[in-house]
Amino acid sequence: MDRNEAHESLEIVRQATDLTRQAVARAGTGYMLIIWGIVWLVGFLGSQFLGDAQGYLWLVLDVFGIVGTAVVILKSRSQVRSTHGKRIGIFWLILFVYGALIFWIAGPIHGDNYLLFITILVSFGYVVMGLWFSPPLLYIGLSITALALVGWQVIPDYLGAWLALVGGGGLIASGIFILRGRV
Amino acid sequence: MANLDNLIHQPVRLRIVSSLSTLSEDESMEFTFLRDLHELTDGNLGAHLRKLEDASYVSLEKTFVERKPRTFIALTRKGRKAFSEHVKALEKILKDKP
Repeated sequence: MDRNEAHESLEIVRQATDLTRQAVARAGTGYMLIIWGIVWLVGFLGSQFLGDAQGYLWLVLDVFGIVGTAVVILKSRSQVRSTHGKRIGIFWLILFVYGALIFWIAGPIHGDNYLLFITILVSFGYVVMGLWFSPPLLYIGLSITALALVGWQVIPDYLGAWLALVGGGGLIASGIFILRGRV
Repeated sequence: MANLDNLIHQPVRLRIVSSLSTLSEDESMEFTFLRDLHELTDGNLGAHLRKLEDASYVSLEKTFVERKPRTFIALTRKGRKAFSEHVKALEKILKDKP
């Protein structure tokens, strides 16, 4: 085999692996980001403007997020079977248990700081997921953390709306970006 | 020393094996997903998979998902090793030959 033929074969390998990774990522990650982006956007806007009524809104949004996630997992399982889904679920469960422990031990955390705490906890989850499976999630998590901290310092009166925009809006935009195959 | 693998070297099979190599050892890919990914026909993909299965490079599992028959394909440890050696051999040709 000559050098050109070897180069062509390696190019086939590169294209096929890139195509597959993108298709698998698109099947699950993109839709998941959009679903949780909607939950985040609507929920945090509710926290900013609804006051005490926000509890019911979060209940509805959480049900929407969990049902949507289940549908996406079932759909992508028909394409690629893996044990990752179980491990991802366990990871998020453990993350929220640790978040609750920190909240309990270091608390009480009130008002806007509570929103910021949740935002940073979830962003940390995306950073870990990025290191584990999909690099774009790493950058999404780091960006949301940085922007959340900027909003906390610069516009504290509108923190809920700001977190809705950078967190929820960021996840929705990232989901659309992934589905269009730009990453 | 890494060797070229004639079975994997065929372009369509190289694409199939490359795709399967992106999955971890406990993962498998559905037949129609792989077919659509590389724009192949059922017959074409089936024929290449039979050759790879005969060499024990891939394993096929037929099952039912939501009452529909599905075939899941995975790269075996032997197939993964053969693919890795093949890629190393290609890289060596690029490196050694001027």
